[in-house]
Amino acid sequence: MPETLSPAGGGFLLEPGDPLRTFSPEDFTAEQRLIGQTAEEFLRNTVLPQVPRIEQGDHALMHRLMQQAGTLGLLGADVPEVYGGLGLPQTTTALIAEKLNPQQSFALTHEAHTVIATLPLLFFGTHEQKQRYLPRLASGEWIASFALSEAGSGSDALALQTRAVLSPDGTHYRLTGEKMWITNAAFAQLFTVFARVDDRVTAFLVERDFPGVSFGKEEHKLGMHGTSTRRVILDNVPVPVENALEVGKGHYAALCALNLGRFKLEAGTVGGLKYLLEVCTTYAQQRRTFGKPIAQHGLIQHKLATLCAQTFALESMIYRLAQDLDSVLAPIVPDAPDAPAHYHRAAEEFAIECNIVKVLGSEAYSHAADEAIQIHGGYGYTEEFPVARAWRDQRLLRIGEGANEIVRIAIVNQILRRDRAGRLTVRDAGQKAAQALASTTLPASPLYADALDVIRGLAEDVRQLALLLLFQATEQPGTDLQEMQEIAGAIADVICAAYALQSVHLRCQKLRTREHPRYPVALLAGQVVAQDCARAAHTAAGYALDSLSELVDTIDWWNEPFTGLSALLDRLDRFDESPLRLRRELTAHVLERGGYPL
Amino acid sequence: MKILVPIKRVPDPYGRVRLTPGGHVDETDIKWVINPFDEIALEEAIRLREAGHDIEILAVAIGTTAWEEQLRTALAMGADRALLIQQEAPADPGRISHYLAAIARQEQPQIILMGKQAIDDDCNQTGQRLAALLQIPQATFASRIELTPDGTCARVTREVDTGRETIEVTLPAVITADLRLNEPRYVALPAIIKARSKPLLRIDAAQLQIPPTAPVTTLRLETPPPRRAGRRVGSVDELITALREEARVI
Repeated sequence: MPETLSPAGGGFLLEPGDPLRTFSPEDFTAEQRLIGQTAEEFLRNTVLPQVPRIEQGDHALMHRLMQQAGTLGLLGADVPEVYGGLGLPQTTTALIAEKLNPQQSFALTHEAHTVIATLPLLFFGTHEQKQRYLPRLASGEWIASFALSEAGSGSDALALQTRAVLSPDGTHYRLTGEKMWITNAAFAQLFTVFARVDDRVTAFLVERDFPGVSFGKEEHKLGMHGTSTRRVILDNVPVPVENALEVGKGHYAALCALNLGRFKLEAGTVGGLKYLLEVCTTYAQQRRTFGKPIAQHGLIQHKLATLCAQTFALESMIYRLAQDLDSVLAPIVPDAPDAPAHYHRAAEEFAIECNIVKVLGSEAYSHAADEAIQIHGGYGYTEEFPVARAWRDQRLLRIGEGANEIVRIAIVNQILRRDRAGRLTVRDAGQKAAQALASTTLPASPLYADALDVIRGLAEDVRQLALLLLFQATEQPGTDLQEMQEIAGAIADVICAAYALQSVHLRCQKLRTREHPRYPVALLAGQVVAQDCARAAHTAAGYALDSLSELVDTIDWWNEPFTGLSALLDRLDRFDESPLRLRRELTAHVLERGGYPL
Repeated sequence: MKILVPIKRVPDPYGRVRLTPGGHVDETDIKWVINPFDEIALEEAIRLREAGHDIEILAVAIGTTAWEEQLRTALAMGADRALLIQQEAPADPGRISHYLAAIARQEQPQIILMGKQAIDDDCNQTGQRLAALLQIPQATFASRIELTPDGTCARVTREVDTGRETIEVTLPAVITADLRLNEPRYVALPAIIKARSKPLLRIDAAQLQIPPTAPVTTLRLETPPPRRAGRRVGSVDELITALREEARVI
């Protein structure tokens, strides 16, 4: 595989990035836009009219919709051409996920099939295994399902208990165990089941019709009423040895698929946020109180601007990450014998960024859906508008495919593990940041060239802050961040803010260089994001710094020799631009466009 | 049999069109699409082929290279090849019909199947002018098209003011599509990928050497006045009075 020139995973912590090489939706080709349009029209004209039946849990209908999506090619986008798919880049498949999201049950059914259920096979299967199953999954002839969680293992997935025992004649395994919360269980023909062979976690391709496979009843869930979620019960199920993916590599298969799953779910969130913004804008322009549309009230405008800015931030991160993923996935020859090793490396490379978008995306969705109900007032609490459904459905995203708590810890752990392996020298950089902050007396408010420069400055400040924290929290030998999850979580929040800010800055800078007509709107959204992310980083960093005494010798952060740090933190919390004015101006664009203005 | 489908690029009918302070259409936020009636015409050509007729479909557009995006879409929907007549200035129905006539003389299609009008300027002239220039029959506002088995005639049901009218035209002919002719399909992803390798040819409009036409001059563009809020009336009598005295429509 050729070495890629783009920075490797986590590289955003070490350098500010190159705007002109950062992908954003403005770079879509005509072909990508057309593919997005097909997904959007299918969703609006075929899926959305069926919402009442989908929400009643009509799984036969859901199955038919999936098959219909299959005939349009919407299930084969991630599958390479050699296995009957289209082999499209992640920038395109992210766009498909975005367009399908307004019906979240359908979107989750689609994601479970195309990403987490299919990718273990694509990444770790042999050529024969892929030839046998992938074409059927790409066409929608078969729907697939990912069976990892168990009653006693969710986010700690690898504590799973399902056993696989090799038969004496060596021709098959016998699988016994019970899988919980299995999406697509009602109609999936193929289950990617994770089980232990002795102590080695292994993924198996289990067909629905294998003897001994049975199902629990449908779970009664808070939301996602249209997805089928059941227990899958395996009672001494004979699975041919040809259906085992590399024995002992199951945990990699699961984690690699989940990395892409987290990325793809949050690509969907971009579409969900845009849909909510559109619905809220329409409502706010129609609903009148005190003699004017509520869209003219300041507190409603504040909400619309926040929703718009969060959408812009997530969108900037998702498509930047999509291109990074393509840079490592695209060179892989899918039917080469050594493909699994390459896929493994590629799917792991940007795990940090996948986890960051998982946290920020799902939490933005929660906030947005909650505010959408608030904007709709009493109507929002009814089923008359789609916001109540959106609120129920999105709640899953902070739990599913890794609870956000475990994902936050994973972000910090992955970074430190790479540092120890010499792949990502964050602690060296953190030490330099600490020295710089201790030695200089930076002006409290540096001279910024213009509004874009403020975003750049804040992005750099937050990045330096993240490095400093990573260094200080691990400075003393033997400190165990595992025992101080609260600190690790706060550091993760600063890291997340750094990635969001940098992604937004790169996109704005690129649009300005290109004199893009939407640059003025992007800049407004970017300024709102910058202020919000800086404040969030300020709060999280304060929590971490004030708690670090639990881990390391007490440092009086707020006096010499850390005056530089005080100045930096001040910059993250005090702005020249009025947040009120920025939000009102951004909202004006939202109202003019009737939704997301970028 | 060959069917020629002219394609016009128009702003998305569901989007909002704004004017710049200088009075031109603000193209910043415009999403461009195939004129919906042309899309229906293309869909019908594809359906005729799927019904078993041996048909080659040629999509033609007259505009800048930006219009290739809509021609690629036409190829993805099912056109076999595409032709862009490159020209910078927007053309009016008089010139368009001359360009299309020149192409039709070269290509000799049996049917020119096109939208009854474009949803941007709503001229509803090109099909009729084209038939006149080529001196061939025309069947406008089609809601149903059937080819005779020998392929020499088309039986076309037309939407007219009094209802529906069915006529038979000898081919070659111009047929213009009305809204109810069909519902265009989703463009499937594999077809989009396949369209990459279908031929799309550019020719310079000047090469076609069309005769001079009476120029159409756009004096001014303005947005329609905002719609005034409605009002509830208490009774039929009140409604009639309002229609007669305020709206003065009866």
